[in-house]
Amino acid sequence: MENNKNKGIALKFISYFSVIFIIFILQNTPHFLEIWGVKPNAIYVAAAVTAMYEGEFAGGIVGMITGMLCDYSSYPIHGFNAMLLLICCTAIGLAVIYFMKNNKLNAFTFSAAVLSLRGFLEYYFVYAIWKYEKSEIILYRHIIPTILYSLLFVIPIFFIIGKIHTYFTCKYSLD
Amino acid sequence: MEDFFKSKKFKILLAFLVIIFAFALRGAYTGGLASFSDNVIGIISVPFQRISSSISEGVYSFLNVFLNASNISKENEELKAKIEEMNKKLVDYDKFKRENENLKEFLEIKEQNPEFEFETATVIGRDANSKFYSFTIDKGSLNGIELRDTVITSKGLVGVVNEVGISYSKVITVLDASLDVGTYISTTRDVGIVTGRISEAEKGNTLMTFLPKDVEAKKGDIVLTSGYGGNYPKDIIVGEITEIRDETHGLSKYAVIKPASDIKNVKDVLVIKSFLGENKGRDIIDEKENTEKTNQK
Repeated sequence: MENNKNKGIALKFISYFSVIFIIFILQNTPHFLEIWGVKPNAIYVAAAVTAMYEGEFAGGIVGMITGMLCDYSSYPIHGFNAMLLLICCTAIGLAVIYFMKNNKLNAFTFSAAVLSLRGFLEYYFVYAIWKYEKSEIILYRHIIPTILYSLLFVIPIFFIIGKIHTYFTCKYSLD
Repeated sequence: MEDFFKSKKFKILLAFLVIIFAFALRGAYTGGLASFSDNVIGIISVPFQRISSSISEGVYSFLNVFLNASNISKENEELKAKIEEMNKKLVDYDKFKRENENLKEFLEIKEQNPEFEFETATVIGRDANSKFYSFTIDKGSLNGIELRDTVITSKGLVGVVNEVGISYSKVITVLDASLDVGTYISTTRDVGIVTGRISEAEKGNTLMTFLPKDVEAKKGDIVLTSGYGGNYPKDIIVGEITEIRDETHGLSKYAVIKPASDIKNVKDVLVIKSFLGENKGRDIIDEKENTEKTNQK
């Protein structure tokens, strides 16, 4: 019984990471999902939604690994995305357990919060702090459109992660 | 919730946070060498990124046909008979034609610069968050690529390698505000520094700064790398001057440069692994310092 449960948990997290990996590959593919030079950061949405379903510890681990994927492909200092997502996903897991419901509206809220935090931290530490000329262009031509575009993926990702969670919970009696 | 902060799980998460922070500090210190985790992720994801990139390229080329439908329709009317025959070979033809054109251009570069040692590479990923169109290529330290290697196409300079993994490298482009390239104008021989500016990067342009106030360069003049300092090979085309403007302080001028390479859409690049005069500036400085130390003794 215990072995079956562990198998269910392992398969569930393999499914989560497969979905996250596919999203990562697709969002980094040249030209794909690109609208007027803006691409979504859907992987952040996936990490936030997973943390909503899985709680603070598992959510934090998933967030950390998702952040490491982001760090591999992105430009700012290594560890930036991993640390940010570890902290944010742990906080999201705690918030859903103690204060908030696991629903689409809160998924939007958490995703928007995480994406905005990432965007503004990146803007401040990579551009504004070095006083590049007209760095505010980055903010309203790239960062804010990226956040808005990424939020379009909340509903489908929430659906997919929810389905995975429900399927394995029912099949292997994980609750 | 207080129980969580006293629990073992919280301590484990805190330990991971500390480890990641340590890696981040190491990354900032070593500057450009990929961490162990990035190398592992690179080994796993590069093959998938290659596949995804080639599929996306195929779909993009297919859709482009419909976006330019009126022009292609006219051409199809005139070449209808020939196109029917060529369609039978089109599948392999497009692939080999592009490969052949790339190799011809690369051979021309090699013939003009026999001392270059270079590696061909393909763009496999573009960072979703990049503002200066930085990208990832499918070659890394296993192929002899090193940090700060120059990246070019047959048309001109693209950028430099900013990070090297085992099987991948990240390239920052000439549009990037953090990249400085020593250059000169082909007609007037005025020297300057090519560096990015955010407002111009949006338009796909970069800037050549520190031009003298009485510079005689004009629109259409070509800007080339100067080779000073040994960071970049000499006489690599950077781009063409489109406009010359006064700096806000009025003491010098700067030129707006349209890069020769199509930075936003580049697909195949050359990485120059070594060239004559590489690190020449550093060697001269080291030699000078050693001579001074010997004289002091």
